[in-house]
Amino acid sequence: MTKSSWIQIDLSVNPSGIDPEGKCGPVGLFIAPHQMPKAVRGFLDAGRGVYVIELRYPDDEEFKRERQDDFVCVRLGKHSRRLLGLELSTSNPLSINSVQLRTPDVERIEEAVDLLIQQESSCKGRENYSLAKKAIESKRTLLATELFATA
Amino acid sequence: MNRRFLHNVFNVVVGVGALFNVLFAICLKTEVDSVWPVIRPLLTSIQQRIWWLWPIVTLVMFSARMADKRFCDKWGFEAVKEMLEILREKAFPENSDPQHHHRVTLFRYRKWRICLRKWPWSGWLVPVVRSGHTTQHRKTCFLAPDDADKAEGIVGRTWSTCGVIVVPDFAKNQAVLPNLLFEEERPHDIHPIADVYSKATYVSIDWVLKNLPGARSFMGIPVTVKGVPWGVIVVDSRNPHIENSSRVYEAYNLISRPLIKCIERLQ
Repeated sequence: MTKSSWIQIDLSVNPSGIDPEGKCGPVGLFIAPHQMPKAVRGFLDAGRGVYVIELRYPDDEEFKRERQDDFVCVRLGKHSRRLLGLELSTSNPLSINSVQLRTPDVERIEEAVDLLIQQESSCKGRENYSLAKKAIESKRTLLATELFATA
Repeated sequence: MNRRFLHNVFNVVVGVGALFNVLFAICLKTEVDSVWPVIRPLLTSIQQRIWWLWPIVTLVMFSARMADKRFCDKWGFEAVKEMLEILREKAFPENSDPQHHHRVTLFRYRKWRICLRKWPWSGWLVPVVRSGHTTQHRKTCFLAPDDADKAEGIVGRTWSTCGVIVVPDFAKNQAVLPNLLFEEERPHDIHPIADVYSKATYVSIDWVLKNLPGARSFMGIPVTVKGVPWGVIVVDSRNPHIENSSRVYEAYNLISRPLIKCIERLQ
């Protein structure tokens, strides 16, 4: 398994946009740094037969897998339940080319994260999933290049 | 002699000590007649001296471990301190004020602490490392109990909300905190301004009157290690507000990974 290098993310997020009505209580001016993904990478785990999209945070954490559907399995932090990654089944291959992840795949990834957001009861959790989704979206082209290179 | 070398020496001492402990346990249970005649004298000799050999070896192991922690792990604190200095420089660039007017402190959560206050097992946020070279011995701890509403101070509030807190928060129209230090600005009856200060900073009015804190603006950043809340970084200043809070936030984002790696070492 060749892991590609991390792609740095610079999310210029307006936190008030995430909790505009202040329902989450005193969240302050900024999002907690540990909720914000710092980097993302994509690679093929041939041993397990999955494409992996990993997210990196200030601190590393063990994860547990939760299957969302036949295609997507999410990696959630054991303690924090942060979104640490997504595993995409290769039995249902991605239609990637060297340029970008095709729209149907991106949509399926987004659907999986949206489902997580719907299921999550805490504001902090929803905040993290939204940021993770945004991070993957923002690096869509680079991720496709990495996935294509390791596949 | 550098610290890494010392660390290796201490580790070898601990390892060899552990091997001796195993050897002593075996010697104690082995009957002299059941072993080869060649090693019988050695076994007898060890068995005769084990009553003082064993405690000495254990003591040496314990001392090596303590010395390792005391002298060799210091680099972890120094590295963290350097990173806090970076945050401080980003927060208060090009200022000629004394260092203790603008500080960055790393607090660590401890379930227990030896203190005369009630209750030592309530959960506390204890200062571990502070920027600068002054006010290093002031070890004010803040309550961080399971009942999060009772968490004390900006540090306790940051801990309980697990979010970044800035006080005064101009986005929420919070007023500037009163200056408790300058005699000429202090009214005869300090209670009303101490009350304002205590409410804005989540501490009791008694605490404010006793300590007369100089800081007038704060920024609290939660720190997690391996997905678990570990502590809080607090930036405090005598300025009415932290002008560069977004710059501090960006600087923290830059140093957060190496900082947390060092913190893991401090555990």
